[in-house]
Amino acid sequence: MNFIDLHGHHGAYVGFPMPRSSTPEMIREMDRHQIATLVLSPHRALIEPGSNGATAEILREASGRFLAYWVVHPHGEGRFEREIAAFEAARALGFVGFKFHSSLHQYPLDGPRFEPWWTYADAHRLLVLAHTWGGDTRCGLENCRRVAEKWPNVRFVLGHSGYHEHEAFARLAGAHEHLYLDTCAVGCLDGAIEAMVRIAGSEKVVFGTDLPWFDPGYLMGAVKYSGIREEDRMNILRENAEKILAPLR
Amino acid sequence: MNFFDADFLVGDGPKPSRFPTGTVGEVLAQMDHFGIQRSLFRSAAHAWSIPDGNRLAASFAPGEARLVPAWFLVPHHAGEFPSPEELPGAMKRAGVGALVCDPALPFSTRRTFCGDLFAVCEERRIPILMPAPDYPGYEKCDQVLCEFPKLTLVALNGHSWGLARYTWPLLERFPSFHLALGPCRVSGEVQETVKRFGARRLCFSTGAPR
Repeated sequence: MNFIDLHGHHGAYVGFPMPRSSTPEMIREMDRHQIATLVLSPHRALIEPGSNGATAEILREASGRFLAYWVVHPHGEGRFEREIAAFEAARALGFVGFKFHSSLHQYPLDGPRFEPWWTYADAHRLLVLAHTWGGDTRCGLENCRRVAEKWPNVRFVLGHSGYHEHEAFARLAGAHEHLYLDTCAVGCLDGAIEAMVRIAGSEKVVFGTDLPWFDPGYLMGAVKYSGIREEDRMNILRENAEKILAPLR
Repeated sequence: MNFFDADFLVGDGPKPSRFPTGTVGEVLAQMDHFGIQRSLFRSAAHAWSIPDGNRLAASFAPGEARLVPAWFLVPHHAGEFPSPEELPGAMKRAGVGALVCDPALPFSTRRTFCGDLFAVCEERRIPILMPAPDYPGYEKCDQVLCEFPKLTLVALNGHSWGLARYTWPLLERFPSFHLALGPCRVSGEVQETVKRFGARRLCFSTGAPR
């Protein structure tokens, strides 16, 4: 069991029933697909500001199988000052960085309210996962480019690899040392994984499933049938994430 | 393990594809790559003409046991489709395995328009595949099944996310309702559906090469 998934969630969701969204069910799915570690942001933390504390309980329940992102909400004055101490206090439980969801929170990834969070992540070389989407003016290519240029020490994973614009995002990732693409959702697009590897190199692609949204097998199949070399597959499924997480655990 | 793909598109469509399926050889090569033994296919020509698409589907791969053509169903009254009396024989002669009834096409699936065709399909157990690219597609399935509850209706799922709120009531109420999974990808959904309704109610479908 040795794969690493850097893009997951947790818990029930309003849109539709998720049969594998509890901690024991998710761990069973991980076991079934040989995923050793999942880095997640629970749905509750994404929706409800100030609820990252509840993620700590999930980390305890998972006994080391989960790591977590601290979800950064843009709205509300003084949020950074209020929350960063709580983040630091909780880091040892398994928080490895921040999650930004500019589409859900309707606030640009490179907006001024996020600046202290990026600056902190840069100073501490944290892992950051951001939802990115082609054509979205809050988390599109130019937003990501500005962030990558301004805070080059962040280990920045472009969630969904700018879905629909993965080739342009791959060129961006290829040009910045700490910028990574992920397979989440975009891996289902015909030829996307092959194109990302060709443009950015397999060292710049990490495995992400959105579990419990996706059955991990769906994206593992996409990696398996993408036509890339075995060495590239292993970079995506394990090696790259291991290197990213090693200094953060 | 041999796979049977319940939804494969052949012929050149308006959008270029990385996997061409314009010839029998190209289609079989695509199927071989993914370990698919047999496919029920529809013709891309249906996008511009139902009669031409049906004719091309029937003549695409005659005698090739791995490829089973499907016809698109439209009301027969305008002469575009065999009458209910002619349909079973015409399908048998052309080797057609199923019919596709696409609610997105400009015709009504209500009894006045398609009732006689549905009635013969119900009686002869001719499978009807109904594309359900989104949640309202399942309401269409429900509407048809409420009028023809013994019709063998297979929803061709095209939606990525959770289906249970829509498909489980249909599976529960109509024993002849089946689901072709398509891009159904939510963790655990297939397993839970099989647990409740059995694997015989589900089909594997790719929608390839889309």
